[in-house]
Amino acid sequence: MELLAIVTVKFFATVREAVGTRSTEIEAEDIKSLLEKLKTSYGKRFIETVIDEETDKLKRFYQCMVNGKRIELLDGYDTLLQDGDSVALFPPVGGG
Amino acid sequence: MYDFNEKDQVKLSETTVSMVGAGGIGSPVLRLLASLGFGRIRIIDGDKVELSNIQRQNIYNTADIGKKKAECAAANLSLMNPEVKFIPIVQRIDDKNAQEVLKGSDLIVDGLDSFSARHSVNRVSVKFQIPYIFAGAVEYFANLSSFIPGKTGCLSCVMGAAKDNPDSTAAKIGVSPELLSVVAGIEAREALLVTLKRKANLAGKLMTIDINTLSFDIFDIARSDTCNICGESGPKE
Repeated sequence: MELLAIVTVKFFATVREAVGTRSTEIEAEDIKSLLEKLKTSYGKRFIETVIDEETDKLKRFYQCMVNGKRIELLDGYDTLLQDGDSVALFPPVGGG
Repeated sequence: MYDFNEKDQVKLSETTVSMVGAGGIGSPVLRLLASLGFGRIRIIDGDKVELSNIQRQNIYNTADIGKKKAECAAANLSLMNPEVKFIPIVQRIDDKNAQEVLKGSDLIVDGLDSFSARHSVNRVSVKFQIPYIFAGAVEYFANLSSFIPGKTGCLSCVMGAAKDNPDSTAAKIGVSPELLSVVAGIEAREALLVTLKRKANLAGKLMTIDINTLSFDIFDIARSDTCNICGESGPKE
């Protein structure tokens, strides 16, 4: 059986408030499965903050990056993860 | 300062900075840009001063309420540093006016309150190769980066087509005045480093701040070859 990648997930701003931690290490094959594991680990508050109920994907105002690249520029939710990857979850802040 | 000499000061005095937005972020940044001695500062903002602004927009006084921000800011800052040439531009920046307003700037510093305006600024930054110090803030959170055309990615590489969340505006959930001063200090520092052709600390990085927990994080961000603004598939002249 192939081993899953162990990646570091960093949370920022409202996502950090929802999960109560700055980062975590998690085993996942791709972004889709990583989000599923985060939903299970952090439960209702994470889901309500970050996940769009209708699409089961990130809400439109949240972003996910793998090693500094938005997943939209990679393979989206099918982006495969490698050992040691750094995943960031955050809401771009546009006020001023 | 051990690493700042008269030649550097002259360089600042010969520099034209465009400060886009003279609100919560723009106000404290403008004070710093003026005190650092940037020679020409364009102050671009189409709004008027309101009573609710005064709590955080610290270049205005109650006597300014109802007047145009760009003009009040220029007048008030001239009292602080009459050597600086302030150029008030009473316009809300958008795709129609961004080129005309920003052309000829050496540097763009962000004090905007919307992503739509920032996308307009970003396109001009890339087109005319003008470095763009980006910052956004709401509630206790901020994000910042320095985009140097030709060296780093652009706003679009990092934020994509990010749109404004109507539930997450300063008007709706507020913004901490202390956060704005911290953001302003970092933006002014980046502006100075970029102008003096030194390595900007936030080039190729995204900084996030949570002033409520005093958390500062910086992570690497990458340029996108497929970016529709600065990538190979981007707009061509």
